[in-house]
Amino acid sequence: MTTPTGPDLPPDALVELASAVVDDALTPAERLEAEASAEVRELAERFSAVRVRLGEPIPVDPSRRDTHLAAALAAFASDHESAHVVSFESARDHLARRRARRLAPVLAAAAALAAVGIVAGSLAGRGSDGTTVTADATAEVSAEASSLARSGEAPEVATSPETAADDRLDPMAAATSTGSGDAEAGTAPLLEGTAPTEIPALVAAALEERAAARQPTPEASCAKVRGEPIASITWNGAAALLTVAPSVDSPTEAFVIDSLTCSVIASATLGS
Amino acid sequence: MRRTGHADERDDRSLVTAAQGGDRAALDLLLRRHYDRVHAVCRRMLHHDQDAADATQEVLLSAVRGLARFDGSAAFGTWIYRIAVNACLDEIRRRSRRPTAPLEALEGSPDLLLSGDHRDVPFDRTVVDHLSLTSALAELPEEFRVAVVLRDVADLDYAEIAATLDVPIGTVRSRIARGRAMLARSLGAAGIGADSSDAPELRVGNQTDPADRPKGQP
Repeated sequence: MTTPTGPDLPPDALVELASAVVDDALTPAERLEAEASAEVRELAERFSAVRVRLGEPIPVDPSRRDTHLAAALAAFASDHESAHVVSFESARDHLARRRARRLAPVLAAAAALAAVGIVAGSLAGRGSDGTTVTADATAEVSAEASSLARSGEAPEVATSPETAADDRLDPMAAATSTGSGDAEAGTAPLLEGTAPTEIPALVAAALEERAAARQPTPEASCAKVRGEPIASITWNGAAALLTVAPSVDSPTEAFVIDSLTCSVIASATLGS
Repeated sequence: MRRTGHADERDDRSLVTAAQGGDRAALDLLLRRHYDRVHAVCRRMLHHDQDAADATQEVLLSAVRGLARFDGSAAFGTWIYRIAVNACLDEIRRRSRRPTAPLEALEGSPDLLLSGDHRDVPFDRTVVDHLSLTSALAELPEEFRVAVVLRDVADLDYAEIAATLDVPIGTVRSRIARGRAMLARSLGAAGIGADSSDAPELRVGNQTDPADRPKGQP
């Protein structure tokens, strides 16, 4: 006895129906259709076998698993010990302090050189009544140099717990201070948003930064994102990507993409 | 559903809450609970033992660092599999920029294949099955492979996969179906898992998702 076959289905529909049988994801009408088709039932059996094969456990090296878990727990412990929220404002202040620290020795040296130059100039021109004035100027410049040097060194010498935590945690500071000297080169700090209503302003600011070439075009860390990336930002304290669609030239929509999961976490329609 | 209960009665949600509060033991349990499946997702997507191990490690670290931002709107499993998929897609992109090794070199060692649940299976069959399944998966177009792995390995439902991949549910359904059809055909040809001798011929049309086609096109 042959199994009755159901209505002729195009290949794609047949395959989809059989697959949906395996997943128990059928509408009532599809269920009737599937039950009437021997072909669908046979395909469904084969797909079930594939599913079973794929779902079989893959052997895991226990020592490797323990190593991985230990590393993750160590990272957790490290992050948790130093965890506290760093606001954008404090991050920006922190950047400014770091910039000042870096520039301080340079400024102090420049000031010292200027002082030496002035002294040398005054010595060369001695013989008139300029001696007192020159001495005052030298003292003033030297004091300024000392002050600059002190202001630059102070945060490092007397590091407060908060500042120390900033140094460890602040991804923005880290990103802008690692070797390339971006902060000194004029790279703008990361934009930050917390609510969809802020997105249009963020887009405007990001496009302005791009136009001024202060913000490089971000490299998407996700394989595929909705829209065109225009800036790396922080969104509620987390790394995110700001994108616009359909294009940078005429954006009508904007999206915030979570850098970790690559999913859209906020969006807004942009005014014309 | 194949999801089974866990020895520890605490569910993922309460473990996440505890871990977010700094409970290291809760995090250990949570990660341990999902480790094998994360590893399986990576292994099936990357069909390379060492890359899968590296990706798994990366997923764990990303999950730990992102745990404070996990808001519980999705299941923890969905969230960590999403991280796994992105880590694997990144690895695939990196891989496409460097020379590839032959498939034989990408496989795990026979010792590893015979460990654990495979010990009671004859060696030859285990290795042949493993190689065939790996080869068949490797031959799938990436979007089909990802969809099938998320469904049949990670055990996510269509809606969760759609959210993970940011595509419509219809596209997910179509990709899974086509991926399975191609796998069944490959494994049937290898005489494994799905005997094709009496089964209808698997005709998988072109590789464009019907859901992606403009309306009106066949």
